[in-house]
Amino acid sequence: MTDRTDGTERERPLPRVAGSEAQMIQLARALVGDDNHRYVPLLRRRQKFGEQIGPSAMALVQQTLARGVAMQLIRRGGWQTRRSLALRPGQAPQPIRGRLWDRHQPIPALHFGPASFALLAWLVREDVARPNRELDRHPQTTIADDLLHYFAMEHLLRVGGRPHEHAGFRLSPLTQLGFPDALARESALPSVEFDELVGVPEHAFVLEALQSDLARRWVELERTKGTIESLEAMILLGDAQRSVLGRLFAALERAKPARRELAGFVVEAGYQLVHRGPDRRWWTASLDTRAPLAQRQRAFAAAAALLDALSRLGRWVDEAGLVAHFDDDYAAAQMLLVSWQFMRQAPSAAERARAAGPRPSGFERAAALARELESLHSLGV
Amino acid sequence: MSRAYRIRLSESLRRHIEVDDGICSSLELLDILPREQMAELLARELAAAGFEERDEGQWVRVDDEGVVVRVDPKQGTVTVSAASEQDLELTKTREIRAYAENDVVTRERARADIQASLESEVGEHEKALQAKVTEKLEGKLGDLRQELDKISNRVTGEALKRKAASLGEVQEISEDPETGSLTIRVKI
Repeated sequence: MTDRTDGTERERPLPRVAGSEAQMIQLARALVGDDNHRYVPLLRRRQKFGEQIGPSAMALVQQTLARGVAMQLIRRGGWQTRRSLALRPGQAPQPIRGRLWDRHQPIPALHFGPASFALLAWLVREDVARPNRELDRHPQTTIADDLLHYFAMEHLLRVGGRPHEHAGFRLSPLTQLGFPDALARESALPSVEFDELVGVPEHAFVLEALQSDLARRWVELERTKGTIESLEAMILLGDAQRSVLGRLFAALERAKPARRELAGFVVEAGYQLVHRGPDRRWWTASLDTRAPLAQRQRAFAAAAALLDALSRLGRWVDEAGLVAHFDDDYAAAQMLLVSWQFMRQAPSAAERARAAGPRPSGFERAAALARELESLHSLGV
Repeated sequence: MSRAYRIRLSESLRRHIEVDDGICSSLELLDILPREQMAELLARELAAAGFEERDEGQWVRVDDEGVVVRVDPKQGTVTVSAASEQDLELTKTREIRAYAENDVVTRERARADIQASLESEVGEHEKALQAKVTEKLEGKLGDLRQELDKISNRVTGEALKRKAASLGEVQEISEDPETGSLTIRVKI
């Protein structure tokens, strides 16, 4: 590297870091790097690691996180053209359409704190499949720290980690939203509030950026339901889904102004699942129904958790259609109607022509499937 | 040379076990008329089907096998349940070897093993009784579903007729009992 501060070229020394610090930097690069599907062997090794790192290493970690997280947000959905509410001081909220950097100018800064360092240090020190110490939830966890925990989840699960055993992951709103299945493997999800995530504009933009990533995750976990044999496992999963979506929806409605559009990932996931016309057995095909009817019914109701959430969102859409043009939230209501139009529509005109009768919209189809799963008719007799 | 003693131990256990099973579902009645009127129509059909009104407006029917069907017309929910109980008297005998006739430790350990074995047997009896109750409920569910569907359809049909009468002059009503379709012509 060269430095031309005074007209002469001078070689700038390359930063030197200790071996363990290099591993921390490598792990940071893996978490926010290009390939979030690769296996990271470092996560399965134990390494001695102090409580601090040197300034060179810290600068490299900061640089890695700053550049990497920005790219991740863009790659995971920020590049898509979407609609959201623009919240500008002194102005009424207005829908705005564009990519993430069009909708937020300037893009809010992300501040990494001690929680990110604690996470990276833990990943260096421990074999994540058999750790000696639990990763605690840091009391000063920022939204950027939560984001890093979210990015770490898939890597951990790929190498056999058990994030549900660590409060650092279990109590993170973002990881609960993205990975309720992984965090509720053995017990119910702890209740964490989403008000700060959705109500603070500097945090909510992260949720905007992750919409398609969250939709992908929810489609994946919904697809696993057809392979679940244990009624208990289905009940745990369904209860976790209801818990996290119930808290999210409540927070979205409590926010001032209400940010209902941030539930868009549920609608996108729902569209991918119901528009092909699966029947109720798609969700319960592998369940071992040799159990009391009460337990069977709980499991079937759990299988319908996402479908129930979709019918609730369908009611939001119905309510949006009734908002008068002179109401303050008319613009937000219209934005919801337009953004979720694909689920309000019945299938294409060609399909309607082929069908024997009227075909329901995506929301209606989801509500009907949920009713079927929860009715007496579905209990496998 | 030490001798081994053979000691016969016997433990008994008396237990009363109770199991139950049940499910709850909704009747999915459309809100064609106000809820109270729908509840009234439903109550009439339930009375005709052998249900009895109990406290708090619940309608209940118990069949000869003890299966209880409970309908709440205001909430539009139906609960089907069954229970069973059994008195158990179990005894287990085991022969053990001890190196002293008064070997308390070995005796106690053996007694604990026998007790654990008896508890395990109680668990097996509970599972078997639970399976019987579940099987009994399953056997009823098919017919019950059909009966409740018919009740719902009759309530819906009657509600539609009343609604039509409130809109104007009913000129014609035709029902097809095979398909369940109902056609009402109203002059408004």
